[in-house]
Amino acid sequence: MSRRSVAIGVGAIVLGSILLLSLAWGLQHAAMANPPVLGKTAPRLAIETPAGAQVRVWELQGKPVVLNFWASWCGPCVEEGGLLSEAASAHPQVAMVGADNRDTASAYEAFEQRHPHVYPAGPIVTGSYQSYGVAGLPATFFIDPQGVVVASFTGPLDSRTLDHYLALIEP
Amino acid sequence: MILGYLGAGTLLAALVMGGFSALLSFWAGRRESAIFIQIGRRAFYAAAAMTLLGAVVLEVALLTHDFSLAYVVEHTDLSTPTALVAAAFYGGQEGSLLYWTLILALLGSASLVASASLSGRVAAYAAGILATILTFFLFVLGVVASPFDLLSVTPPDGLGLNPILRDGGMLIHPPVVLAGFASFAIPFSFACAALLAGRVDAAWITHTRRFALLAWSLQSAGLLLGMWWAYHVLGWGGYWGWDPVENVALMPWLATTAYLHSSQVQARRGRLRLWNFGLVIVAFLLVVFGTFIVRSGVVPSVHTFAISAIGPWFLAFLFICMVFSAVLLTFRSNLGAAPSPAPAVSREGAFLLQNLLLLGVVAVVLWGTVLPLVSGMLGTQRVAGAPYYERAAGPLFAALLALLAVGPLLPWRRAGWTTMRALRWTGVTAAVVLVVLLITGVRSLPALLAIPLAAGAGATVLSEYGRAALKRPQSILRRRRHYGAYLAHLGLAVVVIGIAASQFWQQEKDVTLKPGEQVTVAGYTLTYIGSEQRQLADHIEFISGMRFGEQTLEPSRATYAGLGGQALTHVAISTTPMADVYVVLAGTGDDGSASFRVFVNPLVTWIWAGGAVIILGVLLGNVGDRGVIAELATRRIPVTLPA
Repeated sequence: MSRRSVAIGVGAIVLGSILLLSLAWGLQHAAMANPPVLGKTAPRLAIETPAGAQVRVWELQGKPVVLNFWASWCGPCVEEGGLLSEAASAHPQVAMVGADNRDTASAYEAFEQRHPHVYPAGPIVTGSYQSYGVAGLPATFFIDPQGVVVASFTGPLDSRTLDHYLALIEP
Repeated sequence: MILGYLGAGTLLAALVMGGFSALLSFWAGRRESAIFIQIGRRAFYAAAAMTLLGAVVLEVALLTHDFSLAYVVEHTDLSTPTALVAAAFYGGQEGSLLYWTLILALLGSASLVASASLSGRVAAYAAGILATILTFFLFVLGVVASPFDLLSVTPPDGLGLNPILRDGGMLIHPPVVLAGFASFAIPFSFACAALLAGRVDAAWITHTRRFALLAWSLQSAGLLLGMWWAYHVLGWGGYWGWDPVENVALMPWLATTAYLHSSQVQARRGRLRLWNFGLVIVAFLLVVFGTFIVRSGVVPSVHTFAISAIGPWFLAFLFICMVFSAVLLTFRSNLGAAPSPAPAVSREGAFLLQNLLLLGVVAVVLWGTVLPLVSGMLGTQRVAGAPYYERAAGPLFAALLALLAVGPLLPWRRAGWTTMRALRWTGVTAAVVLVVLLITGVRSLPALLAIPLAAGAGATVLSEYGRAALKRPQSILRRRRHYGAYLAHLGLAVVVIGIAASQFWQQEKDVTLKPGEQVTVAGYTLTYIGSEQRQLADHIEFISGMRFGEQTLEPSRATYAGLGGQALTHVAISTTPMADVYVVLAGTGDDGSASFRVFVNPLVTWIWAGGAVIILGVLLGNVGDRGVIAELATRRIPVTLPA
């Protein structure tokens, strides 16, 4: 067997092993495993806004919170962005948080220039979308003033649906 | 309930026959015992027949609303239209796995029936490998994910089909993609059988060429249908999102595209023997990898099935397939040496470069797909978004387009200066298109690369057709495979122009309108007429009408009360050859106003039309053809190396 064959073989074994190990790791941390967050305290999650400020969901207790998972590449997220901005203005007592998900820094920045958020939004710096069981974007979680997840919605919201869920968390 | 027992019984019988076929075929192949090879093959046919019976039982259970079966309850209800009830067969995890198994069994049987021309040992080993794969799937169906599991209490109605699957496109997209996936097993089995038997001549290529083409064509159609479905149903104005599940369907297609080209080099010039084995094996491994990704739920995607216990089984299967293939290729690596290195500027050189570029794209897509897992394993989970794929794969696609334009005009062996003359139409067309784009103010580098190169590729094909029509018109019919492939190239050039135009010149506008108000996007004017609510059989639909010329577009939003209030957007599209006007209803206000997102997507129709031309080219070139490559392979390159 030539040295080249051995080198190719060793390379294939190393890459194949990394691939299989990562797949096995994925099975242990399956993204689709939907943690039963409804009725429970919202998992720890923080985002960093373009200005560098961190917004920590667990520090927002006492206020109703709308946590929206989105991404710059997600068309339906853009679609519902305007609606959430309007809701943020109409419901100043509700803390809206936009958690940017599975994105690149440049795409996120370009998006913010084009469609700036009027409420705190940015990449997740603490916690993970997985702890909320997010499998598809957009996904929105409604958290009451006690920090308990009262409802969740997957897919773009419309104004009627948003009002319905907001009524559940507003005191 | 009786259907549940019957179905489970048939799958158990298929499992026993499949296992028996696998063991007997390997043993008989080693001993070259014709009679036992024949028995092993018949056991495979019996397993296929039992699998078919199991599939019929499941379909009957669905159509008769047998709610004693958990699968029927989870995927249908009494209000689901009959066509969708029938399609629920492949709408869920267990049913789609049974569908995969059924296609593997049927196509596997067809390939074995047609394998009489191969050496007994190769045919026997191929039957053994096919039967092993079939047995694995039947085992998973029997033990881990049975579609025939019974409920302890029979409910009066089912839960219904996910609204996103309630679309005409879903009736054909999943079965075509799944059939494409399943058919990759045939070339893999025959390639491994040839390696096991030490027969590295091109006979296995000849035998499996139609199945490789079938796999490729089904996968092409499946990808196109998936794009069409995403565009028409998901309502985000695009058709490709670099979703992990899209990626895993794309990768085997890329590897098979590489193989379909490099197999010609082996047939014509006797080169790339081991490389071809490698490509077919890689294509199948990517299929198994993709099946694992889709069915285990390890990465989030719009396509994944609900999490189930089959993930570890598919991971183990992938591991076994990888080790088996690696060992085979390593022990047979001495059989693949080429007579001499291929000249760089020649048809075979172009094929090799095209292969390397396609595998480069596979590597980029594979890395992007597994990045969340690899990075997560190392501590911080990172995800590759669309910009990564566009940046990393874009230059490779540009080089592939350049090859598409130039490659078909390069001669076998070595190109000389006369080749430059043949390239004149290609070069002139690309240059003219480039100048026109620059004059019209286009400054986007990707657009300035993609569109002139695609136009050049189209000119190459048309000049070849023109040359043949002027000199020897009958050669177009006689060399159908050759000119069919050119037609596929032309279709690809059209697809690229459609993708480039819709990608680079898409325009969009978000508006909120009151009845009677207008919006204009890219010169297209729409007038909002008003909204209404309609109560349909299983859902409520909010429709907002838009007048567009003589047409009325009706984007809407459907809410399914029976499915926990799940909502689905229905996009309204007005299609013309030059652009689609694509309207999404974002929301409605209490004052009668409605919010819309209006896109103008140029040349999207070209993508679907070009895709149809690709498949037409492959069909015209191959259906009813007696196998020119078969003759070339056996006449010119009689290579049989020691086992």
